[in-house]
Amino acid sequence: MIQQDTRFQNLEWKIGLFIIIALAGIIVAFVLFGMQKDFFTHKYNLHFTVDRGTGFTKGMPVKLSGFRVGRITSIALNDQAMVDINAEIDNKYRKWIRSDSTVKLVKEGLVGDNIVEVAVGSSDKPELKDKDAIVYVKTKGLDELADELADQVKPVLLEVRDIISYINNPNGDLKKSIHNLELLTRNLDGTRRNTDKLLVSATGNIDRIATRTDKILETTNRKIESIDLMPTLNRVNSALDHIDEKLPVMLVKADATLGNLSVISRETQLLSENTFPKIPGILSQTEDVLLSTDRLINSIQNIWLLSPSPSAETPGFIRSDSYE
Amino acid sequence: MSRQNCPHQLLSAGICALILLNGCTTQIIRPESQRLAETLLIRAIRAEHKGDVKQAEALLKESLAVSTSIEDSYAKAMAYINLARLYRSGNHLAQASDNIDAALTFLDPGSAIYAEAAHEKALILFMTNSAEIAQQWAEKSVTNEKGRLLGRQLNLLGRIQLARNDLRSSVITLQKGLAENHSSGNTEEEANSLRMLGIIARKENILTNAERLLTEALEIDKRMAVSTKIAMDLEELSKTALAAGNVASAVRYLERAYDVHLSANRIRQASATKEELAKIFSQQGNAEKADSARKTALELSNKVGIQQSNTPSDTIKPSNRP
Repeated sequence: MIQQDTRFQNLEWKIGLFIIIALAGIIVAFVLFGMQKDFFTHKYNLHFTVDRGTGFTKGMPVKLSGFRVGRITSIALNDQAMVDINAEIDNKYRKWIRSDSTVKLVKEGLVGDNIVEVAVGSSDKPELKDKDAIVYVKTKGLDELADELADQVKPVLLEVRDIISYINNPNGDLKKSIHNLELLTRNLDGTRRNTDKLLVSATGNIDRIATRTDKILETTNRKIESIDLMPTLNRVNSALDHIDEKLPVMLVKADATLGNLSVISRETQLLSENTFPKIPGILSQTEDVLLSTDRLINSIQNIWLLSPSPSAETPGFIRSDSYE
Repeated sequence: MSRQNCPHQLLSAGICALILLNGCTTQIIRPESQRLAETLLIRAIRAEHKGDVKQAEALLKESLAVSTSIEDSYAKAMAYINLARLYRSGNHLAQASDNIDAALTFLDPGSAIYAEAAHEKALILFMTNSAEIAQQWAEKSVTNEKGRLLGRQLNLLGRIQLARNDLRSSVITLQKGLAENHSSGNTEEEANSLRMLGIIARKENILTNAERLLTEALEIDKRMAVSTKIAMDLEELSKTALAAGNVASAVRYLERAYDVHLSANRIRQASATKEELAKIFSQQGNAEKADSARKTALELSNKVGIQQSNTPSDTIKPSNRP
């Protein structure tokens, strides 16, 4: 029955073909995996020593100018309690890694993974060979950076605090000046009232004087009717009338001026009260602007077109001659 | 109009393209710490050139610290050599010696700056009266010089040989140095070669040659406007004139040297020159002029009485490692 079933015809061939396809699939998968893991590229080893192995992991990528050029292959503690780290680098990047190249542990972005970054070496220095040591540059951690920043910012904040305390000091020059200004304003108000009283009493006095003068003049007029003093007296009368007319207007104007002065002094006081609290904020903003400018200038200086040429950077020696 | 402007526009575009391409080819990304160390070194050299020795010292120490933090041996050696030179100029020979020894620990004879370090070591040893060992180091500086300073290294070797009274070797070395300095355009060192050859000629009693060589040296130094060297040339010319029996000429040269020293505020040297003049006047029996010169010398000495002597301290013990 089995031999007659057509499904079992050429069964050996079918099983063989199936095994061959499966094996080919496994080989292709292995090759692809190997290519991804750089198993088939030529590599060479570099090593460096760090005081703490924190942040380093086996298999961690090694990058040069943002490109993956190798990986960390081993991390081991040595006899001096330091950490020896071995990195495997693709041979094709050898030309960039020279005796003055350095490695450092950096973070890819603020929340990215740790990577080992290799700095490109100078073209006049020899290339590093297999199993050579490369210089490790310690990078500062976030906590160290924060401490450093705090150390830098502390004196600024202290100065700002001093300025604020100077401003707020009740015995300080500024507070005294404002206080004096307030007193002056208050006194001005009193002065205005006094002036008002004075002017009112002056008006009353003038009225009384005018009345009395009229009486005296009438009396005198009667007594000296024989003498022709009428024109002069008329002139004096008209002058007094004129003063009497002008004086109330002048008093109104003086009153308005004093009112304006009072408003101005009140506005000055308000302005100073509004402005002084803003000074610390302005100082802080100014500092931010200065820091940003500094960063901008540094960035501009790092642009190759503006940065000095490599030959100009080569330092020399203090001048010396043979007959000193 | 636009056709006339076209070549200019093309030229401008070409220059811009060349500048951009130049940037692509010459840009070398250098580690920040290395650049910082180099910048500090350059600033230190500038500060020393301006006469601000304290600032130069501080910057060199800072550069050394940065170089040490990245274990850059070459940059460390450069900082140490410069510190040694700074201390030697200030006559702090013990510190100079320590620093040059530190520099040499980082350098092997194949290094590009080994000759510079050996030259400095030789100068420090020479100033501490260790002429024999200084000569060994000067020979090393000549052998290992790879740049344009061979004439200077030869001059120092010749100077040490002259101090050791090895006139024959000194003449050969200095003549090589003179030719080397002339061909490399190192004019100041050329004047040094001529001055020392003039001194040797005087010692060998070839006075006409001596005067000619010293006058040539003086001409170069005047052209270069180096006050100390001008005064040195005038003093050597005075000695040569005296050896030739020409007292009036010797006095004139010394008086010129005195004026140069005094105007450059080198009071101690001015005093020494007046003392020399007093000796000549005494020998000539001119007591009045001798007394006057001696009085001026004394006044100048009193003026600089509190200043330190140029003689190195007995406590200085530089290493004699050849």
